[in-house]
Amino acid sequence: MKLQQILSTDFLIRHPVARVLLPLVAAAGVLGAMVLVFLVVPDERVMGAVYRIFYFHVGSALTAYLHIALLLIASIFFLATRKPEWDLLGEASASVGLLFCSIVLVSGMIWGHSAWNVWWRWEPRLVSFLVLWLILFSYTSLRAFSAGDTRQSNFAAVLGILAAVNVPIVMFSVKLLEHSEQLHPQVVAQQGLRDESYVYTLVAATLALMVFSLWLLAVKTSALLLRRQVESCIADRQA
Amino acid sequence: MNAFVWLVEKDLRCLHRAKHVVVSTLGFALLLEVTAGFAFRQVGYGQIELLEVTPGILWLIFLFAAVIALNHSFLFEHENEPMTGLLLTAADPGTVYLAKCLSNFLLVGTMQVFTIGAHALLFGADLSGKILPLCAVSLLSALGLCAAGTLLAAIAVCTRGRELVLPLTLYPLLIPLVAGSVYLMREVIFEQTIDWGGFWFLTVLGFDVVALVLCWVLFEYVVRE
Repeated sequence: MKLQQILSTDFLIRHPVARVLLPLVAAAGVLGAMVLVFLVVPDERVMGAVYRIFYFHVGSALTAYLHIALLLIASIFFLATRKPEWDLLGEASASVGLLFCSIVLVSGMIWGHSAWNVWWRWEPRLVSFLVLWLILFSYTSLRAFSAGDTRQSNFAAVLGILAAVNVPIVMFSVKLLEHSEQLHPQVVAQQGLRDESYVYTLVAATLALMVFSLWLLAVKTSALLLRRQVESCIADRQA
Repeated sequence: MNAFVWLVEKDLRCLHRAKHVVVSTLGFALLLEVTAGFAFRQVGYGQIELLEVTPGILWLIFLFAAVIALNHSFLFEHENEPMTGLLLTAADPGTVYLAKCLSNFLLVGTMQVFTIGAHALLFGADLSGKILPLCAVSLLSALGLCAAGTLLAAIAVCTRGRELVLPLTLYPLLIPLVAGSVYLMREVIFEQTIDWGGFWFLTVLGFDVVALVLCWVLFEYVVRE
């Protein structure tokens, strides 16, 4: 199936795969992940039950990266091919990426309040995600400020590429700010997932959030498609 | 090459005619410097504390004043629509971008050197013997700032509320550059040396190169319909 067929109202709104199957799989995945997180995995030795937020926190972070990668791919292909489908995909993936970045920040703050007794610390990894959130926020703001301009899609694609290329530079450089401030747990790097159930719960939660995000992407894309159709109808009537 | 020189000359001539852009950029930087001086002296900061906050204060002023300068860089083209004329000449969009970037660099670099001088004079932090290396670090960072800023200014000038769009899109992208530059300035102030092969120097240099190449390639998509 071609991208043009996938990113059409026929597929996104009427086709049973996008209309029924995708939301069902997403709901079942998230429900299954919640069962694993809250009922199956044991408590962590030091943190107790509050560590369970880690599964959604890490899963959301990886999902945000997935949508930034989608934004980069969509922006490059839009500039190369000028097909409006890529522009739609870029706009939708930036919105969903922004949402998951927000989830990472909020869940991190909830965990931080329990672990560090403060809502926010000037911790390099927290700061790098805040910068990432700001980058995606600036992308969506540019969309809003340039609405109506014929070059809006070009502007957004250019900023999308700049933003996505900048993300690894930000993540890498901010981590080296001050070693004394590196308080964020390095669970995977320090082999903290010793129980097998921790590993498969993390994988399941991440996959469930990714499928859920793809459903959100489909919903956002269909909303954008409908808006564009309405706008073009209004323009035709005015002409 | 001729087109490049001609375009830089044109921009500098425009700046010469519109002296208020240069004067207001430098005046704004001075205003921020004096305001920061008042704020930090009011809380009783001593010599060491004033030196410690110097890189951060300088960068805040650079960022705010640079936006004033960059916002004006495409205003002339936007208001009089000569961008189409420029693109119809032998100059390709890449050359137009590089010329605009150089003229912005000259303006922003002048503002940075002026701000460091004003800081040494007014802020109260002893910068004797450190002004030249501070200027060198600032100018190295100005390259990355102007590379990204020129492209985003070309976008911002076409949007509603351009005064807001440029800082909103530019500042988050500049975080690695600011982090690296602030660290290098700290090295200059407290250790009186720069680690030329160090991580932060390479970050700033790498940011300059990546921003310049990427924006040079992407500029065509911003100016063409």
